Amino acid sequence: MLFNSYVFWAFFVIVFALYRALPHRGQNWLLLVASYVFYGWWDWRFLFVLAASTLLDYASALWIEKTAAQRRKKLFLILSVCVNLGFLGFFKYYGFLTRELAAALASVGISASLPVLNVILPVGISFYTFNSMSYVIDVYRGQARAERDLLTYSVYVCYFPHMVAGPIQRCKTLLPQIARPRVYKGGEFAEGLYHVVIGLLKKVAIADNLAPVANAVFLADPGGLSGAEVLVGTYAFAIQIYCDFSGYSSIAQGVSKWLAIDLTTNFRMPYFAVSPGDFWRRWHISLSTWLRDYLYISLGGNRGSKWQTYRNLMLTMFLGGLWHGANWTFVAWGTFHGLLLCLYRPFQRREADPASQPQPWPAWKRILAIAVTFHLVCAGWLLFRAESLSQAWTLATLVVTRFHLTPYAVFSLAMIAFYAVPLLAFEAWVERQKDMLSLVRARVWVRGFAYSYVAVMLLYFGPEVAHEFIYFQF
Amino acid sequence: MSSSTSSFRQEAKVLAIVAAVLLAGEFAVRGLETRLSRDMLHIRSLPDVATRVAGCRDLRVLFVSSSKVRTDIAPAVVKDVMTDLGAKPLEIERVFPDDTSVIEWYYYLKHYFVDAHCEPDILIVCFADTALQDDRAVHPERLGAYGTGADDIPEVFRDDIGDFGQRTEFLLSKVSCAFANRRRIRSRLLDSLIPGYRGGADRLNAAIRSTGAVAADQQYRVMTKLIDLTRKEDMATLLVAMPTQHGYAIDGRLLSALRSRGVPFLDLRQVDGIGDGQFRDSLHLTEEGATVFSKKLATELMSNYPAIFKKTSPRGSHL
Repeated sequence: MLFNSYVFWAFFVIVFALYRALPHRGQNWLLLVASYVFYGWWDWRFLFVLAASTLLDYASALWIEKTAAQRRKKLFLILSVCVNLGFLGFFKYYGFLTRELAAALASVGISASLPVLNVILPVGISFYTFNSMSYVIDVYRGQARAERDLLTYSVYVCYFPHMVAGPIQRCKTLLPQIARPRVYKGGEFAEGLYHVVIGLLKKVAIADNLAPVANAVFLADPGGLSGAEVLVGTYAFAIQIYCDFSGYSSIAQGVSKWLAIDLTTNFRMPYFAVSPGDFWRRWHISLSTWLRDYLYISLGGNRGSKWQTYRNLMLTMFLGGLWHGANWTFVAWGTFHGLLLCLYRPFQRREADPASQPQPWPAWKRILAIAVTFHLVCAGWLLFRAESLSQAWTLATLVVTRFHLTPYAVFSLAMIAFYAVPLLAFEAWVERQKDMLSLVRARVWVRGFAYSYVAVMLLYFGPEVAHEFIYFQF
Repeated sequence: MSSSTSSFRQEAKVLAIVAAVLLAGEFAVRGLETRLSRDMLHIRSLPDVATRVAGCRDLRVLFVSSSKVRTDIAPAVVKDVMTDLGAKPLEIERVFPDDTSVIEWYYYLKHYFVDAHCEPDILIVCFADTALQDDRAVHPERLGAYGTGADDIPEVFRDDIGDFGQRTEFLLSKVSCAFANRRRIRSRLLDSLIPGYRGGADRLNAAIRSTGAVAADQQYRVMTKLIDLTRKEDMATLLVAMPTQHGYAIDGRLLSALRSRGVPFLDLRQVDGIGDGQFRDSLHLTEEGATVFSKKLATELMSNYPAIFKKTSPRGSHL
């Protein structure tokens, strides 16, 4: 059930109507049932994995809290983490590992017949696994109390707005909201509407319209492409993946706001970042903070020597890349970003948010830094989107060796301008306001105009083919 | 008054502005509907076509297909050649909504001709490539707005549109002209705003569209339904395979289905005098190509099916 489908909105209208009529406990039961229906819509067999993961982590956290001995606490933590990673590894990486192992053995002359399983990847497994793992780790670290109510905990894991593509929620922010009766303070409808409207604009009008522009480059025979077409196709993918993923997060946030439950912000105008570090503070914030808190800091963070810090950065970004999927292109993408973070690290103090410094950067310097960062990020997207590392190399080479403007490159650029420039202009305004909800606080006629623009774009400029959200595969 | 109520009232005003803008768009599209495209003009003229068919005393021949019938068949040429070859007096009419396939042809025929009791004597279904396959994409918004009446909804939902989203689009199109024409409006606007839009869009569409492969479980269910409808209404039916630039194969199961129902089939994929130079794009013929093809079609109709077209035969006999 996709957020950009009519069936989801029919489903949500029914859920919302019942939700408003029920008491707190009834609301939680409703959320549980609705979330299982929402998730089972893809494939009912996935529900068993979800339920198993929920029960395991619920019990693990209780055992960890109840046990006084540190060793036993650690044992329960390891058990929980291993089973969670086992699920993830089996569903996500089994095929990749057997394929790569067979290839490696074949390269040294050993013909191995490894068991091949056609494993269907449960949608969003990486998201809810990370959700529940963070909960068990927080309980182990003493940063959170184990939840005794199985219903509350189950809703925390499977809460449908964020379950399949995030934002990844920490137990400290989401569990108390589920445990407590919901209170509508006023403003939920306006804020929720804003998030939903922006999310639909990003996903339906922008991402899905730019998807074929990007695909036409990445699925084409490179022999027929010019460097300009590759560059513009990469720009199209950069906008597509941003609007696709942040659009999903935004709709999730809006829908959840209507249910009086706050989800964390997952994107903060990432293409206005002035450095790779700044980019990761704005892009997929719930994952980057998860990796920082549970991986980078666990590895030692920046507490050791300079080289240990670099190692930790590289390892974190390598694993962050691998989290996206079993493919060398994702690994290369993560490693590339790790390298960028290491290269920029010496300048980190100087590049910390320029606007917040005593003397803000001059406009030209800021624009230059944004342009450089955007192009570095695009180089990463080339790796990320390519079908293979050799294709990524071929396409990157074309940008340098065969760069000439073609009518198709001009067409693609104009498509990007038509669909994405109004959004980027709006985000530039929000960036200047330093308030993500600036539009919600604007005058009625300003919002009316802005929402009318979105309505017109959705009505008249919807895509030929609706696409699934890219991040579902992760 | 609580802050929640106040907030909701504020947003209600915002939504009222959005509704006003959309309503203005709806009225504008309704007013300009026939100017949106040549195709729209044609669809809006179908009741007149049906009236002409109903009022005609000669042999009534109706060609049904997509835009290929508009570009590839010159009715005057077909009529002249057939008359010269001894055909009885006949009138040719055409139905050619753009980018359609057999599902849409069935409903257009049913809605404008059968339900209005304006059936032709002979229906000639022209097709190319995969247009007769069951798995061809349906345009629910066009079918909803222009191809069906309220009575057709149960049949459409039972047989052809099972997806909840497509059903919603179908129903929305029944009430909103703007919604039904959104793709046309987008194409017109982008064509004027984006440099090289048509060429670029063709390249993108080529990547999206299927490769023309025949699905393994192809049953030709809709085509069979179309033939059964024409049988029931006492129309003679004939299928014609049209030429395309790159050619295409004809599925053996299609031929079996036609044979089992006794429907004549004319294979005109290859026609002498039609080569690459006679195509304006990969699908449509130039004016010169259309003349060549129309002459060939007329000649083949007369030589293969004299029983129906020659002066000596009674009107309305089956092929």
